[in-house]
Amino acid sequence: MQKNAFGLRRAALLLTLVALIISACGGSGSADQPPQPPPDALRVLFTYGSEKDAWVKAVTQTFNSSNTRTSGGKLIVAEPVPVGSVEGGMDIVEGRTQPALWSPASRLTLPVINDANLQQNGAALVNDNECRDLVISPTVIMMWRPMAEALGYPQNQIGWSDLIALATSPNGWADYGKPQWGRFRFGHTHPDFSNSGLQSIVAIAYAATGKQRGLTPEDIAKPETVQFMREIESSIAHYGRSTGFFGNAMGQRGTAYLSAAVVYENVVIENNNDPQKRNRLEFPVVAIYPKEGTFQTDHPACIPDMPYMTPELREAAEIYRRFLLAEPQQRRALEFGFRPADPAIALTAPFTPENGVDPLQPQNTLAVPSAATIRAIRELWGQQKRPVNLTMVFDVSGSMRERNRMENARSGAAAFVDQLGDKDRLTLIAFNDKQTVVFDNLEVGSNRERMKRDILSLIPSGGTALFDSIAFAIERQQSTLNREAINALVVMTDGEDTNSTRFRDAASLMDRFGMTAESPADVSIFTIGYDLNDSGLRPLRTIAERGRGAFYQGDIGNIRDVYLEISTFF
Amino acid sequence: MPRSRILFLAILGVAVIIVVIIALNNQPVSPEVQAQRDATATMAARNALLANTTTLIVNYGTEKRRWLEDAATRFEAQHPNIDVQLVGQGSMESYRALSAVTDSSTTYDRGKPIPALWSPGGRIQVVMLNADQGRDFATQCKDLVLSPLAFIMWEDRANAFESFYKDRGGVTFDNLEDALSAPKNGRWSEIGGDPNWGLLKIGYTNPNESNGGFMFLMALTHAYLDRTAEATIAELTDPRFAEYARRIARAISIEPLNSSGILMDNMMRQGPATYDMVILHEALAIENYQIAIDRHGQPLRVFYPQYNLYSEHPLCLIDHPSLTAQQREAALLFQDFLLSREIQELARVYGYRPAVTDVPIFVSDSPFNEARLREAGISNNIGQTLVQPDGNTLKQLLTIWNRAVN
Repeated sequence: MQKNAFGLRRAALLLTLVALIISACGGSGSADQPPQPPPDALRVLFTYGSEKDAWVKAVTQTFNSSNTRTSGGKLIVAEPVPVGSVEGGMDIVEGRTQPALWSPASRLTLPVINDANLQQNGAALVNDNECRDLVISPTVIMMWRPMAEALGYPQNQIGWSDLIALATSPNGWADYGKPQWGRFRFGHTHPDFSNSGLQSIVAIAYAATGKQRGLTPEDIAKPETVQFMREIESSIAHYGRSTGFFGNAMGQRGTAYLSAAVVYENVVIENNNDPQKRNRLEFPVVAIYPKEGTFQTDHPACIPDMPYMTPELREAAEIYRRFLLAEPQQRRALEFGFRPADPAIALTAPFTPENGVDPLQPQNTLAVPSAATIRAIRELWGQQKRPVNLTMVFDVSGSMRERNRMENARSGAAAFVDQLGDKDRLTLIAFNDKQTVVFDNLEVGSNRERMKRDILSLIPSGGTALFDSIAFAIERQQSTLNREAINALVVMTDGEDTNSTRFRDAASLMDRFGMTAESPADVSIFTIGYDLNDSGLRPLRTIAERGRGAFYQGDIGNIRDVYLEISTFF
Repeated sequence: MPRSRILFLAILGVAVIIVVIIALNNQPVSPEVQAQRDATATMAARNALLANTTTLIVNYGTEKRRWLEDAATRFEAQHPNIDVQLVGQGSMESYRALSAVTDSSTTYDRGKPIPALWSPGGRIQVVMLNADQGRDFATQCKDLVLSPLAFIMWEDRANAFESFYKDRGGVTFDNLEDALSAPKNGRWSEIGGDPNWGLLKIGYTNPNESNGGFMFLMALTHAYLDRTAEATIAELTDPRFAEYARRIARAISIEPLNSSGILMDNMMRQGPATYDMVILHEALAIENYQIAIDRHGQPLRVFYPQYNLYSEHPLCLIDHPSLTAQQREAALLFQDFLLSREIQELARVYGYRPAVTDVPIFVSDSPFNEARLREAGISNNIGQTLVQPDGNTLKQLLTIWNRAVN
């Protein structure tokens, strides 16, 4: 009996130990994830331009672990969510998100979003005098150092007018004694999605008029402004949603991909200063501060004037914003290549010439124009942007029958067509083990509905000749190349190649068709690996990287979003 | 002796002592003793206050942020139970927000808690607030620090401008008007500067929102009048003055900000690319002198307008029923602290001229006497002090300015 009792005690002890071990394991398992805040904690949703994501995430971790409370004693939990600057504002206007704090990349966004909220909800979204700048980064033209030196860097000031001369010259870099660099290839993001894209087209409009302030809608309507915009846009390789994409892609792909792109100064620092990124650079990059003036991307943090903002939530947002502006957090911004908003912090390393930046630049800033002028510039850009000459290469192999793949991909591709401009041209090649041209080089404007009908009636069957189909599409595209347009392929496939005979792998395909600096015009290739495993994704990644495009991984849940994302490149 | 008797005698003794103390306390006392007692009572109230945590909200004109933050940190170290919350806002903006407060208000200015203390840039905002409220809503005001208006410029820009206009008096409102008008149209290439500097960019704050902006408007008006005596309504309503104001307003077309501190921070943050010059309190030039060198590689220079005025930075209690006795006590404690010798001397470090006359300005250990600041233009000669007109004329001036700008 005694022995039995001892045994029971031992069993109980053992159970306790097991329970302890399990709970300890649970604890360590959740160590990577932030602990769940108590249910009564006050959540401060913070949406912000993604370019400062690394800094915001780093310092917010410190804030959340400080257990800061409101005057009423509620724990404040900040939830940082990066989102495009213009998009983030429109999300609030249209009620998709309810952030307590919003920080687009620049004040240029504020009149645009206030104007939208005035029209939709009858009042401005934010009082720009109440917004506080978090960090600063001038908008610059990132260029390969030897190319910048060919233009006279660092002795001569370079500006938009120099880039236009290069972009419109039939000789390209040969005018500067460097024919091996081919023509001038330029990139800026899409102004409907990204702040740097919006800044680019406003800066171009200023440069076109010779003004530095007081830009009016009448200035934008002048023929010389229209011409200037068209000429500079003619050198655009493609647009895109994210400034960071250009920073990374240019670093990875080298001079044959882009000669220059509009980015923020911190992107230049990051490329030169991060050992991993620096090692893969073909040449160092430098920041050109345009001589006609530029914008100081000032990252205003604003508390929206919306009905959901209770006094308690406002207080919490203010406490969190004060934290972001406090000296330790401001000092950390240097690490990420941002100029602290706190002017008392000097611009020490990494703000050095070796990193391609000059803390004494820029010398001239452009004024933020009125909402009406910005609207006029956006409309002008919409008319003068480089049109796209596009081929969709669409997988209709038998495996597309599985798991609603076909249905969802068709609907994504149809939504993509809705995003194209009237003057864009589109070809649809459906492929399995062979290629079928469903429609060929049609202008989108008058054929949009027909194109969508054709896409929505595609039927799957047969095998997958991916590489040969891409080669087929490139060869066709090259026969209708249009120097005035962005020439591109959007390839979507759900399977590994089973039927190609001409090209057995991505490397041989891209050895034949991959980018070179000397190409008179380029075909950019965007690829979507749809519901694919790693081995299937790898060749698609290679094709996009060597084809001046971008690679996306899609599944039946996000294929529509992937198509919409790709549409921002055009 | 039985124990009960001992107890009885002890109680009697204590009672007698109490009666004597009460009787003594009710005797008429000299004013000195009474003052000492009041001080003791105040100390007791303050001690009681220190037993509980009190939040003290101070709304202030943003230009003196760094000094106030430093002072508040020192104050909280001495009074750990008082939590000073500084809320910076343009002085005219906060004046308007406080004007709308009624006895039944629980918050002001879009849900913010009502402050216990208010320190706008000038006395003028106090006069206007109390006139609007019809009583001393801002009360027990005391000037904290003084600072005159100044043209604050980056050294390279200042040297170029001064050299170009050396025969016409250097940096003055008249020469700014000349530089900004046709045919020069503000182009640096036309006024002896580097063409890469683009256009002459001048920042000032909005006179409707900020005391600094209001001072700018006063100095500008007296430059037009060319005298210190106050402006009359007849002079201000003369179309020639409206035309003059319009010319200046349109030439200086950087969107004015609402608050002096924020404008100066912007100048320091964005450098000469965005502002070649700002027209603000002298204190901001002194406070930011080293920051300018560290951040942009060059110092600032200071010039005073020919007709000038001071900002006085009064600190007032807000007389509102929502504020507790403890908060009032804490507010007075903080006011005393800011006027103490230590904190007045600290104000000099941040570029302010102490309001307490015992603390001198231009003496050997004062930053105002540093050779480099004197070389930058900091001086006891701040121009001729102009006379401010009455409230109605001031409102008229604002109306004319607003018409000219819009």
